[in-house]
Amino acid sequence: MSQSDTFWSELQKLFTVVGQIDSSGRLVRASPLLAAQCRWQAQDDFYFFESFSFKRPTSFDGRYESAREAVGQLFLGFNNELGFAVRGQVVDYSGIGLDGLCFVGVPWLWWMEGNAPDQSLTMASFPVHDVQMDQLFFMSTQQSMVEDLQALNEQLKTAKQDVERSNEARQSFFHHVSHEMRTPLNGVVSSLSLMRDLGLDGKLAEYAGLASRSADRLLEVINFTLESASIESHVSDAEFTDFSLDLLIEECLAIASPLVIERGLELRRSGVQKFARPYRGPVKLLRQILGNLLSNAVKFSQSGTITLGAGINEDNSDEQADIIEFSVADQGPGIPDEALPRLFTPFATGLSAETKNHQGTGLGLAIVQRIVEALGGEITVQTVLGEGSIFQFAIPISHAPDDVQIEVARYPSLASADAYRGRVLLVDDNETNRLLNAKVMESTGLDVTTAGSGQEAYDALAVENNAVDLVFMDLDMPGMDGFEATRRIKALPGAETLPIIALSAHSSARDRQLAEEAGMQGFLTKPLVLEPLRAIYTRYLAHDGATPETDEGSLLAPESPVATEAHHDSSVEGALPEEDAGATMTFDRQPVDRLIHEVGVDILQTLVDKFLTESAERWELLSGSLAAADRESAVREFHTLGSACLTFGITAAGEKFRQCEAAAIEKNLPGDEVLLSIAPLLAEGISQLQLLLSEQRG
Amino acid sequence: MYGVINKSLRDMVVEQFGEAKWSEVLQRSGVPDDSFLAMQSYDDDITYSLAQACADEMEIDLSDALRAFGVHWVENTVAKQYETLMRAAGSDMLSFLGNLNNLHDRISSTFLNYRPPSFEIKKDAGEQVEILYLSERVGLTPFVEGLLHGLAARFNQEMAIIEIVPQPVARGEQTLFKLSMG
Repeated sequence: MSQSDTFWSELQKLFTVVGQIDSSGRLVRASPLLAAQCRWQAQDDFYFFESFSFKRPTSFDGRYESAREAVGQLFLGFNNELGFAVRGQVVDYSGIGLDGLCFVGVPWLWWMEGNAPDQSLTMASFPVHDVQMDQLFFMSTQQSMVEDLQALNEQLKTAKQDVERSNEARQSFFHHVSHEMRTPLNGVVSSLSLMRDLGLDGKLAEYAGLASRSADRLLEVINFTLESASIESHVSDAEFTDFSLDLLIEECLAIASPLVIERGLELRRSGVQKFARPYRGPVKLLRQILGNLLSNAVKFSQSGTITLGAGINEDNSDEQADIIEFSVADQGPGIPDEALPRLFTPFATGLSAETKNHQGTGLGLAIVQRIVEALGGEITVQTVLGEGSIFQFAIPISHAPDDVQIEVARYPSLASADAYRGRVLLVDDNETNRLLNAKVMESTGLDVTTAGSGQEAYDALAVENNAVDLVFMDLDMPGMDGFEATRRIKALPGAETLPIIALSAHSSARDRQLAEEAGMQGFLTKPLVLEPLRAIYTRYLAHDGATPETDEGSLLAPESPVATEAHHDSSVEGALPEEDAGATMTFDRQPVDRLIHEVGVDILQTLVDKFLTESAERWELLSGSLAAADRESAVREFHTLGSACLTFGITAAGEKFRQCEAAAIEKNLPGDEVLLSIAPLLAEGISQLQLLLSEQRG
Repeated sequence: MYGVINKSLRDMVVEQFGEAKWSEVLQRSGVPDDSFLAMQSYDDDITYSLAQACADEMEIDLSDALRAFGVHWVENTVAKQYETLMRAAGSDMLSFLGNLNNLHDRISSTFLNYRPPSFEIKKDAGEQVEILYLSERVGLTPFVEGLLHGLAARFNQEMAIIEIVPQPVARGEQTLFKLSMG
């Protein structure tokens, strides 16, 4: 065997596609695979470079000379007709007997996979060192891998959506259930509170106290559940308003003051730093944080001073915001070391032997921590047993433009709350109204007792006729009405001069006349508002060191500012209820805003919850009365429901009830189908009322 | 073993018995999830647990389950994903078996942790063929038996396994398959 034959043979061990090409470009010798794929036989005129379309080298033009210039470069060529493609290089072995040029390489597998998949290449078609088969296996598996990942991605996406949906459903369920639980529970809390006010003795007082504490605790847990479910959304949706930090601090101190005074503690603001600039931030959340911390400090302190501090951290490069450092310090018993790690954990408290009587739920601090963190801060506590604790946190608060108008504090100061002194008896058969109006009156510092009927009021005053300084008497009550009760009270020895003010949902001239004839000194239209009440107080009660005014001028005259305080004029008395509520709006937020201002949103929420419970019962009663054509009962329920609706701004439904009441009084009792027209108005009004309260509670 | 094996096992159960049955198999196996990635290496115990759970769930012997899996592996997984390689490895059963080690060697350059079995083929002048199967793993002889049946079906090869003879070995598993190929 010649040297060239030996070399040719060795080449075919390294490559499966080997061809010797003479200077004319003609294939003169071919490896078996090349020969088979090109259907070439010796002596055939097969011009190798012209038979393939070469994608590489790009400089190659198909001529022999061009191939010589491309020696050592990668050649990629294909022949569609043959269904064959080659991958290799041109080499010049003319020096060792292989004249011309040689092409050495392998089948171009990727081209053939795509363009000639039926060509039966085998593993023998590729030398063992060639990686195209490996790549093919890799690519096949890689494709499978990509499909796996895509499938996995879809699964994760679906799972994420499922989790989110499930989470939303769970949140919604918890929220709904918590709301549903809160409403009746508020009734329990209010009733227990009233029971305790009755001055129970012995075991009854003990059990009522236990029930009251348990109900309070349960209410706190439910409120926490509601808040927990929505803190993140509260923070992200929090209303950012322009505010004065000084005013906010003063406001928080004012809110905490009553309890501080009651517990014999002191409350002050540390430092003298005033915040000259206005800020823009989630003021409701800040108020909630500081309120919770102050409330906690008061709850656990037996004596000493509670200090609220706020200052600017100067180590801040942000020119658009300040880092405000807040602190609430108390001189209470301190927190035991073992309680510190779980202090901010829901349902854990820092209770010690000294503080175990303060059965909080341990939820307030958990909420505070979550809000502080959501606002970009961190809350810490330093404590020394027997000396007290300091809670501190710092959060960035943006600057507001210097010329913004700042909302003034919406909470009345203690000074204004203390403006009047005196004992008041409030007589009203409607429990919601009674509770609400008692709260309004208490907010001005008065000592208020209540009676649920004319008879009850008379009985109370018959026992001790100088027990009160002023009476507010509802006119429309079952049994002994307000007129009769007034006449009887006035007949009691020593009660002739006791001022009695009429309360009525109506302001008709006839009612005023009857009130005056019964001996009443004033006439107020429900719902009660603070300013006309103040006029009454000023006249009949001591205030700010002054004695009651002695002017006996009547407050019953229609033109007097008190008497004309009629927000819901029942000018349609006697008319049949119309199907269309006309232009009356479903909900009027004005009276609700006023009540929030006067008694605070939390108390109002409690009262609204009570109203909702009571309304449902009264609705049933009314429905039964109408079905049985029981006019007297229907008049009473129309009246009560109408009055309560108008009190809470549920205007359209309230007016409807009023119209029905007037019609029923005129012996034109509507059928029970009238309830169908009132129901949607009532539902919509309640819905808007709840929404407003929810917004206000933040 | 690589995820492609576990995926194939799942596909076999799903195709033949449905998703619900696979969920039961998975639960029975104690394997926490079945999101296998083809090219990821998983602990052998996962594959063994799944195979055992399949057998228990179908109330058949593990060897029967592995035999069925061997057939499925050739007829479905390999044929669908690696058809070009299958074709390249041979156009008849004997040449394919002859190229099998070569094929596994190539796979080893991509799958670095790949520990493939090896096969030694002996053919006498007649129809008898002997295949010596050697593996680092234990217990997969029935799977190989299924593979041989699957290959015979693919290549339309008449084949009968005359005898399966376990060979003494210090580590792993070694089995002699005596086949008759018409």
